[in-house]
Amino acid sequence: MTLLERATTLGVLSEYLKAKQLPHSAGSWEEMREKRVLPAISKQKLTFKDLFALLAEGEEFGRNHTFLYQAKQGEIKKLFDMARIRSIAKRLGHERALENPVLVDLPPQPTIVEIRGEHSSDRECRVIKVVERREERRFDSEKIQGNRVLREWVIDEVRAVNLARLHASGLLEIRIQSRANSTLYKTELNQMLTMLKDYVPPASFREISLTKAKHALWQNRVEKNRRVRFSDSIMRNDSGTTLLASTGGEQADLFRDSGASSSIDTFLRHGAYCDSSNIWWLPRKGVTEREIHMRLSGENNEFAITAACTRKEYDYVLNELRVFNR
Amino acid sequence: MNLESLTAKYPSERQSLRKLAELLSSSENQEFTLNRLSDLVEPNSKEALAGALGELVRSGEIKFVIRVISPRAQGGIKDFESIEQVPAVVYDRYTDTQVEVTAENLRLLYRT
Repeated sequence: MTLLERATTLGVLSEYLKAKQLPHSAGSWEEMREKRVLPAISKQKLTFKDLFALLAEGEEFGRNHTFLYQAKQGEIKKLFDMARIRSIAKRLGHERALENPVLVDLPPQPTIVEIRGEHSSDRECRVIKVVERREERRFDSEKIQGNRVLREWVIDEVRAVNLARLHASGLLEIRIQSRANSTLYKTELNQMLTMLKDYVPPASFREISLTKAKHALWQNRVEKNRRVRFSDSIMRNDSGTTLLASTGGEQADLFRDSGASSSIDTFLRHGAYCDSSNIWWLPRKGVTEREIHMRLSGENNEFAITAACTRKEYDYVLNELRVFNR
Repeated sequence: MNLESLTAKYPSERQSLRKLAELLSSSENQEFTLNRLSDLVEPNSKEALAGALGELVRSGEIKFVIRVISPRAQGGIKDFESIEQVPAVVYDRYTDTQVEVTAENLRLLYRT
């Protein structure tokens, strides 16, 4: 349960139990363990294998920054071919990752732990999972010595899971686990692209800019079937002016403030563009009963799901985002 | 902008370089990030676009600036021509405080 607490959230575990038609609500991890998980295990409604699978899913979905690419049309079939992937894995000495997930906690070097085929939204994809050891800084204390202020940070070793998922359509996701101390992911992204260059050669792909989706999501706010609410947005124009709008509270919706909303509309009509936004995908029947927070910021092809989520939730918001990006 | 020599150097970017030439000729006192330009001219490769922009900076047709932005207001505090010129701490007039400069509050811009 401690591992699950680290890898996922109460909400995700609750959704998982609910999908198995088990009692699922709990206000704390202790309550979840004592009143939900342990009774389900003792009644053999839940197995340790289920929990391991959930743990693996918790590591892969959410709390990450995703970078989207599209394979060049003539190369998709070749890139997706599992025989080719197997042959590269053998040549590079990654064949263990083809058979079973390699168990590593904090490897000295980023390590490919799993290469597998799977299904996303009923479509086939290829997944390469990488585990790395990271150092994250945690603020600890501040001392005053004479006329000097000394601030200390503790360096925590963190297990990070990054992965590449290639869809049969040629869509490639590179997911980098979120960092605690930075919003910039260029170094980690380049490290992943270099590490996987034989499997997914960068020259065979081009970035998918999400700028259309950022604009379309804003336009969708007035639609009857709107999918998201915004909590903040930064708009810029090519003269260098920035318009920043954000709500007072976490639950508030920028759309409901007609003054702010129409200011942004006016700015957009004068050639501005949406640079970054924090959006919340609204609950969707049959998918999720909670809101999913997405940050659209950084590189053109980047989005972040800030909290752990289920595979179903992740695939839902990814698909919706791509629909808005058409 | 010498479209021909740039196209000779980046032949796969013929179309995006043509769009870039049109954009730059119609823009005065405008500024663009690499991401913004990438959206506007749709290059095959962002690296190639960055290479072409570097050529234009060297020939003096556009300027490259490093802007320190206010972490709170998101507005520009000061522009610099090179990373060596960027100080460790700057005065943020938006908040009347000294702010530490980090990679997160730098914006790299191409100016016409």
